[in-house]
Amino acid sequence: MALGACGERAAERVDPAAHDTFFLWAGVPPPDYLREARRVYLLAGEIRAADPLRYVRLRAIPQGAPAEIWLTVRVERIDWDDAAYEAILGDLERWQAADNRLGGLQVDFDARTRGLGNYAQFLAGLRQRLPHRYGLSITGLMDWSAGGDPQALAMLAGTVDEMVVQTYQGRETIPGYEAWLASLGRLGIPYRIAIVEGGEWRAPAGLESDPGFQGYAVFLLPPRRNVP
Amino acid sequence: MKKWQAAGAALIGACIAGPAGASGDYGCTPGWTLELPGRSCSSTIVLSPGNDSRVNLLLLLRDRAGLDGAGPEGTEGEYPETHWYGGEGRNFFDWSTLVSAFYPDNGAAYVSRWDASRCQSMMPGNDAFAAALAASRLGASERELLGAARSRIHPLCERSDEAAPLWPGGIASPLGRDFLAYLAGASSFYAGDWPVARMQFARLLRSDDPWLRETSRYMAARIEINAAIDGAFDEWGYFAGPGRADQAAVQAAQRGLDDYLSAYPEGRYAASARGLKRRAWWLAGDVRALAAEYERLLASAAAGEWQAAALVDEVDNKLFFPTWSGQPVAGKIGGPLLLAALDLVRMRSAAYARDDRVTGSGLTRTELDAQAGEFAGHEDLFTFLQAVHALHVADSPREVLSLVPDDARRTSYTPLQFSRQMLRGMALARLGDRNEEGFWKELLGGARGLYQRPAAELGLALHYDRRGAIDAVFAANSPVRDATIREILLEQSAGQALLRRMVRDGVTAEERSLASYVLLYKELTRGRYADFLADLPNDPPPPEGFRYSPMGPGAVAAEYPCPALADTVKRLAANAADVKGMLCLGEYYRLNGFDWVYFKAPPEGTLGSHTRLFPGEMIPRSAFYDKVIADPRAARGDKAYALYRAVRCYEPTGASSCGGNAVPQSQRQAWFRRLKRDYADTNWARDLQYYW
Repeated sequence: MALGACGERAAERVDPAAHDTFFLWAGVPPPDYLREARRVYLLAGEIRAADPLRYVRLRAIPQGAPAEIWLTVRVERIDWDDAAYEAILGDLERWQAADNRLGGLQVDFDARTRGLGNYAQFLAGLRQRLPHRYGLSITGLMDWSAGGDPQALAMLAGTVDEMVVQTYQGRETIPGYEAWLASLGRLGIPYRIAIVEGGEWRAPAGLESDPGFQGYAVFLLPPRRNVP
Repeated sequence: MKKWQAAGAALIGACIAGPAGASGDYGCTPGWTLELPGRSCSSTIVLSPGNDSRVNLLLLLRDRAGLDGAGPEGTEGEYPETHWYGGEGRNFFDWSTLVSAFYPDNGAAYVSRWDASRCQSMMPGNDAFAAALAASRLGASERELLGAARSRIHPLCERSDEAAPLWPGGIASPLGRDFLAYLAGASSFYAGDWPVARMQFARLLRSDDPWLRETSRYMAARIEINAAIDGAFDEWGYFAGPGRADQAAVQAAQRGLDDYLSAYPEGRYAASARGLKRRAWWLAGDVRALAAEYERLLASAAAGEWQAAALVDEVDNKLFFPTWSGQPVAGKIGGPLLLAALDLVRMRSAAYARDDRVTGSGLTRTELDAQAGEFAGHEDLFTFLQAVHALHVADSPREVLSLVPDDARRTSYTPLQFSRQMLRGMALARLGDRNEEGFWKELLGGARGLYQRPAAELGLALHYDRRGAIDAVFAANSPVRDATIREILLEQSAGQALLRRMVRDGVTAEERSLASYVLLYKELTRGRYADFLADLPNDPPPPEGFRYSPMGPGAVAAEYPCPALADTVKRLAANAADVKGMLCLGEYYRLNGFDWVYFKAPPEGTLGSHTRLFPGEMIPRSAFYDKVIADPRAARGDKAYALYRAVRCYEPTGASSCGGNAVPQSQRQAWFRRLKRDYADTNWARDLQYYW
C-alpha cells in the first residue's frame, strides 16, 4: 500500500554505511567506508549528445581498488562511433591490468520507454563486442516495466546480466516509488535497486524476497558544504 | 536482512497526495513554464537563474557577437534531432543539445584513444617526431632507426605495468644520441618516472637541434604539471583536488611555463603552455588569476566557433563549480560576462542554494546594485540582472516593467534582447496585464533565433490556458505552431468538442491521430461508452510512426475470453455494470498498459494545468473487480476471475498495479481464501498459489 498508509509508518532514510554496493559518480569524493564495499560502480566517462565520436573520460584509471569495480559509462546517445567503442573496450583492459577486480561494463542511458527497442538492439551489439569475461549491466528506469514494449524487454532480458533500477531524481527518492516497483518482477531481468544516499526508502513488502532482486546499490552524493 | 537503517526517528512530514500508481512521468522532464527560478534539469533560451550556468554564459558570449542562431535569410535555423529525449520539445534543452544546435559541425576535433591524460599527446607526437627527424641534420640510417623506435613507447599508455622499451643500437652521432635521449625522456614521461624524465630533457636544453631545444624547454614544465597531480589520484581513480597536488611542483611548473613562453612567445607549444598555465593557477587555487585569464579569453573568443562552447565548459568546471574547493568564488571575479553568469546562479531560489555552495550565498539587491561600475558600457545587461532579481527574488513584477521597456517590435533579437523582452512578458503575465496577449503576439514577429519562437509561443499558450481560452491556440490562423505545446494542450486541457474538431482539422497527421487517441482513450477510461462508439473511426489510420494510435485492434484476451473491444464497449454502453463488459474492459486495460495513467495532471502553474475541459476521472481496473466481487448476480466463473485478478493486482510486491486506492493485506487474504474456498473447482482457484 503505497500511499493510503501514509502516516502509519516512519519513512526511512538511506544510510550508505549500512550497504555494500555503491555508485561513485565523477566529482564525488570516495568515503572511507568504500574500502569495505563489495561492489562499486565507478563512473568512468561519458558520450555526450553533441559528439558521438568522443568518449570523454571523467576518472583516472583506478589502481588496486579494494572492491569489485564496474566501469560505468553515462551516455546520451547510442549511435557510437568505432573510436568510442575502441576507447571504452580498451579502458576495460587498462582497468583490469591496473591491479583491479573488474566485474564488467555498465551502461547508463535513460532510454525512454518508447525507445527501448532500439536500445535493446544496441546492447545486443555491444554484448557481441564485449569479451566474455566481463559482465554487462545497465541502469534502468522504473517505468520500463510498466510502459515498455514487452518484446524490447524480452530482448533486454536475453542480453544483459543485470539492471540497476534508479528510484531517485537528483537528491531525492521519486515519490510513489513503491507502486512503480510493483511491476519489476515482470521484467525477467535480475535487478538491483539503486537508492540515493539520504533519500527516503522503505522496501516494499515482498521486494527483498523476489527471486529477481539482487540487492541494493547506493548512489553516493558529494558532501554539502555551506558557504559562510 | 535489513539493509536500510532508520536515521533516528525521521518521519517525512508531507504525505504524498494523489492516487497510487499515478506517478506519471518522473524522468527529468521540464515543467512547462517560462519561469525557471531554481536549477532544473533543462535550460531555456531565456537567460535564467534556473538554466545550466554554461547555457547562460554561452548565450552572453554569443550576445556580444549578435548571434541569435537564426538560419539564413530570416529562417529559424535547424534544430538538432533529439528523438531520444521525449518531453523537451523546442522550449527546453540540455547543454549538449544547445551546443549541437549552435555548432552543428563541431566534430572535427582530433579523436585520441588516450585523451584526458598525459597520453593524449602519444599519437600526435609520432608525427611531430617524424617531422623533426626529417628536418634534422641526421644521417639516413640513424633517422630510420630512430623513427622506427618511437612506436616502442606506445605500450606504456596501454598498460600501466609495461616495462621500459629497449632502444636501437648503432646510434653514434652526438645529434643521434640527443634524439635517443628525447625518446628516453618521452618514455619516462609517459611511464610517470619524473626524475628520469627531468634529467633526460634537461640535457637537451642546449642541443644543436632547434626542435629538441624548444621541445625540452616545454617538456620541463609539462613534467612538473604532471608530477604535481601524480599523487592526487586515489585507488578509485578519483582526483582529490589541489589540496593533494604537490604545490612545489605547481610552482616549478609556473616558472617553467613562463620560461618557455618568454623564450618562445609564438612557439609551437605556446597555446598548450598557456592552457597549462590555467591548469597551474587552478591547481594553486589562484581564483583571481584564473578568472582574469578567463575574462580575457572570453572577450577575445570567436563566439561563432565551437571552441567557444569548450571554453565555457572549462570556465564552468574550473571556476564556478570546482567540486572540491568549497570556497565561494563570489567577490573574487570581475568582468561583466563572468559576473553576470555568476549573479544568475546566485539568484536561484533558496531551495537549491545548498547545491551551489561554491558560488556564494544568495545575491542581495544591495550587492547587485553595487556592481554597477563593473557593468559600465553594458547597461542593458545590468538592468536585465536587476529585473531578474525583481521577478525571481523580490517578487515585484511591476519593477520589471520599469527596468525593461517594451521593445517587442524588433525584426530580430540577440540573446540578451530576447531575454529582456521575455522577462517583461513574464512580468505582464504575473500582473494579469490586459496587454499580455498583444505583447506575446508582437514578440513572435521578430523571434527568429533558434528556440526563440517556441519560447514566445509558450508565453502566449500559457496565457490562453490561464484564461480557459485554449480554443484560440487551435484556431485556424493561430500563431501557436509548436507541436509539443499543442500536444500538451490536447492531452491535458481539451474537451470532447475540441478534440473531435482536431481529429478532423489537426495541422499534421500526427496531431489528428493524437486528438483521436486522446478522445477515445478518455471516453473509454471515463465511462463514456456511447460517445466512444460514436467517435470510433471506421478505418483508423495505421499506428506506424505515431506516438499514439487510435484504438486499433489491441490485445483483448489472454486467459479470459473476450470479443473485439467495440463489442465489449457496446455491452457497457447498454449497461455500465455488465459483468462480462467490465471484466473484458479490465483485460483491455491490463493487456494494453492502461493501468499506467497517461496524461497525468501536470504540476500546478505549468502548461495544461489550468484548463481541464474533459469531464470525469479515470475509472481504475480495480473498480471493475470490486463491482464484480460485490455483484450477487455475477456468474460463478466471472466472480472467481474477478477475485483472482484482484489478488494478482498486488503481485509481486504488495503494491497495487491496478490503480485505485490500495486495500490492506487482510482484504487480499480474504479474497484469496474466498477464491480457494468457494470456487475451488475453477481454474483460477487452482492457478493461484499465493497472495501478496
